[in-house]
Amino acid sequence: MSEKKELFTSRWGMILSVIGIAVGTGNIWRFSRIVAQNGGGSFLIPWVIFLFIWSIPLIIAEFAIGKSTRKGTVGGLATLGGHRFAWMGAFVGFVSMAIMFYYSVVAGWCMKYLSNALAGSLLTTDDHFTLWESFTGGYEPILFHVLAMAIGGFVIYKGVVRGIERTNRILIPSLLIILVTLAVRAVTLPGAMDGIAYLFTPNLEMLLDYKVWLAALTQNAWDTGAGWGLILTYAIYARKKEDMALNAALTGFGNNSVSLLAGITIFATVFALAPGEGIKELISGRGSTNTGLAFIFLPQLFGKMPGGPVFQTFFSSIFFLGLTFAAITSLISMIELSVRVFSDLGLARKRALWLTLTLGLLLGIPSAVSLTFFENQDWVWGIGLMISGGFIAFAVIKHGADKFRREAINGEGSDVLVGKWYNIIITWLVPAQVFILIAWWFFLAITEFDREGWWNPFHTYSVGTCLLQWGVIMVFFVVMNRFMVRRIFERSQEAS
Amino acid sequence: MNAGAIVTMILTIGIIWGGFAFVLLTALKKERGKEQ
Repeated sequence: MSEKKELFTSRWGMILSVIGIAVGTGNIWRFSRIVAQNGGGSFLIPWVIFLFIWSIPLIIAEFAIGKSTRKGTVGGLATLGGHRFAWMGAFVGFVSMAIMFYYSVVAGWCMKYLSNALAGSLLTTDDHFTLWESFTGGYEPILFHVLAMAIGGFVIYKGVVRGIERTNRILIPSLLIILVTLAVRAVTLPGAMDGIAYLFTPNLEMLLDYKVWLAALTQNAWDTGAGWGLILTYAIYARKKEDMALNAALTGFGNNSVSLLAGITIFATVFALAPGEGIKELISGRGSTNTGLAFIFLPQLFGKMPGGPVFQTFFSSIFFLGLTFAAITSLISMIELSVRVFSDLGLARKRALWLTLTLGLLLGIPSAVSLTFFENQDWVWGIGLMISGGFIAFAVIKHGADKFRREAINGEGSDVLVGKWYNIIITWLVPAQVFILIAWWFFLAITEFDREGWWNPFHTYSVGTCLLQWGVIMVFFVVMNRFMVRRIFERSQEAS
Repeated sequence: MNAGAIVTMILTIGIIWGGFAFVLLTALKKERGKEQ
């Protein structure tokens, strides 16, 4: 395993890798469900607006921090915002690491269903709900979680160029080919146009509903990879002459293009193969955390596809292959983030990888065996991501938004110059969105999810569980702040 | 498909896919300039 400083070999290698971060399973299953729940076309309008005032500004910030500091989340935010705030970078890194623990389980589910689809067993069962329940209720998810972590670990072991870049150069174009193939098949099914009409029909009443706007902002916050610290980590390996702003726009537009393609495919399929009842299933669904659509409902529909078992097996297999590719390309970025943070703290890269894999394997097991634990972690760290976005914006503000824009964003290699509008978005709009989103999700927890026990830290969807878990982690990192700064900055001074 | 759906479809696809194509072409042009 190479310890030398590697850089992406080309702009396109880096862009494909960053799109690999952004495009995950959420583009395929969460987007369609949220669009269906929020009035189709009415949702798409705020979804496009928030791409410009949340996702792209934060992606620009991450690109610029990574490239200008050449350090992971802890060192990057401490360099920018001041050494006193290294703990904020540690929190950003930990949130993505905590997501890695259970995201590996999700990648494992996709691989298991890929194997089911290839073997044809998805088409021979009538009760997909029981199939899903018996799979997630057993110990098999642990095996697939281990397999997912092993694949991710192997990619990172190979390094930035031969591992991350090469994998994404293969998997991301393959994923696009798969999605286009599925989309062509879906829109040519009889009745598919009804689904596309539903997807794009605006409902003016819903457009004025603040809940639709909050759902659109949440989708951007969770789906684009903005504010996770992952893009910051890949930007460390950007070439010196690499541009920031255009690359960030490419990432945001590329991610949302994939979501739109997946949305068209799923709406067309659902309306064509399950007319009438399909949309109700799409909105309500069964199973946990949006997984019902992918693992229960769509497998039922694949069995109804015209063309017989060969075509049904082919389309169900490439669907789960696409999901697996989307999950793996995101998972490897989460592993790399942790490895980079541990490396910055002084561990040799190989040891940092082993530590990350060990933690990932062990701490992913509870999510692999308990969907309740999985849902709790998804709730706590999903909202934690919004704090991460806020911390990244804070570091930029602390450094001076205008100085950051002029020196880090519009510095060497920039293809286009970012104007002063950026200062306003990162200083005012991003923090405002962070506060609104956290307040909104807590409001939902108190009024809808858990009225009686919203304060209880041991309830799955409570405010208390978020405050307790975030609090413990933040206090730990605040206590460790001086240690982390010493390890990162004194070490780099010695090296220079 | 009604007129509202067609307008929303053209706008959404235009902004998202069109935006991606525009940024990609701009990046290609800039990159070619850098290499020269």
